[in-house]
Amino acid sequence: MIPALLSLALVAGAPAPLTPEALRDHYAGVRSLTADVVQVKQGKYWARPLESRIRLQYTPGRVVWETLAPIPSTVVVGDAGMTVTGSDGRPRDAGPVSSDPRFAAVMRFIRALFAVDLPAIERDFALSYAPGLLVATPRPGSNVQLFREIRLQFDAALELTTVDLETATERTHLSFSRVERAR
Amino acid sequence: MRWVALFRREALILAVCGVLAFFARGVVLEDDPIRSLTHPDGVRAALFDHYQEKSAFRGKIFVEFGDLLEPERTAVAAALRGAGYEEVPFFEPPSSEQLLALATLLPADNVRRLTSGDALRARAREVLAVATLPGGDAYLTAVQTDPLGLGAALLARLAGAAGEPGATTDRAPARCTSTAARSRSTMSGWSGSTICSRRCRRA
Repeated sequence: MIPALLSLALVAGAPAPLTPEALRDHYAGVRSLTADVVQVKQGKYWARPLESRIRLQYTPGRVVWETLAPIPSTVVVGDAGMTVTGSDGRPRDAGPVSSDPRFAAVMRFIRALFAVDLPAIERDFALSYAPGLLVATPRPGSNVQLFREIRLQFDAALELTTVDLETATERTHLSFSRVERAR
Repeated sequence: MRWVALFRREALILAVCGVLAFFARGVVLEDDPIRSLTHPDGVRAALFDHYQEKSAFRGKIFVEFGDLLEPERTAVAAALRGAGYEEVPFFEPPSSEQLLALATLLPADNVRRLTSGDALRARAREVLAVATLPGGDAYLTAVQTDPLGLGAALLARLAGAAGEPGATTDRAPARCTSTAARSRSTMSGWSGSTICSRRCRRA
């Protein structure tokens, strides 16, 4: 009896099998998504790990990345490019930077990432699936090769819980909470 | 004759054009310089090379992989490698030395504006904001090369409206492949690359 209960408990705690079909079904047709994000960045450009609190808002074609702390700012990534509003409250257009195809590819990827838009992510990344985990590695020739590997962790209900991004000079860990999606 | 006297400059231009047209009556430019590559006349066949000889994209081809399936990508990549092509960045930003060399092209007012306290503070705020995005370290690397934003100012100066802040493009990613040694190009070539990305042939 006890072994049976133990095995039941183990099965119940195991991460859900992650398949492309399940993810596509779960994230298809998302009209909006909001989430609280805690981000920790470590790397070459940071003297010590930078922890920031972010409010993320996604709608198709637009991501609002609002950093609440330590330095308030808002980055809006949309079809027309990127607008940055610093702590002075004045919006600035990224201008010609947006024309850099690698920059545009990163922006496109950010939008696809937060929507878990698999077809869009697969344009630039090869995906592999493990229980509760999706690992994306850039395809040869992709414009987002600055990323070495991206790991998306999902809970049993297929909600995105963490994202780890690794580049040559930086490691970023994103923890998601209060995720609200509307279809 | 009075008309000729009144419009003698225009008449002279017309006469010169007429003479040139007479002598060049056998010269026909093909629909585009690329088609001229196959022209039996060597002079006309060399037209494309003359057209391209000072281009930063000479010796490079552009391959659009976006809509290909994985086996097709692999096959194309292998064929390119077999033909001696190597992948180079599609867009390579200039080095800080190149930027400083080109900075003399900027009017003094532009430089004063870029180096003013307000502009530096605004740039610092922008850098901090963008650095918090995933992949923000790539932006920090670019800022390390060009802390003042000279590149954007030069691009706006050289490219006119296309380089002005607010001008954006959302092109499909393409790959630039070259037989030549890896070379640093300045930012001038981006608009050209979108033209070439539809045609994949040896330049």
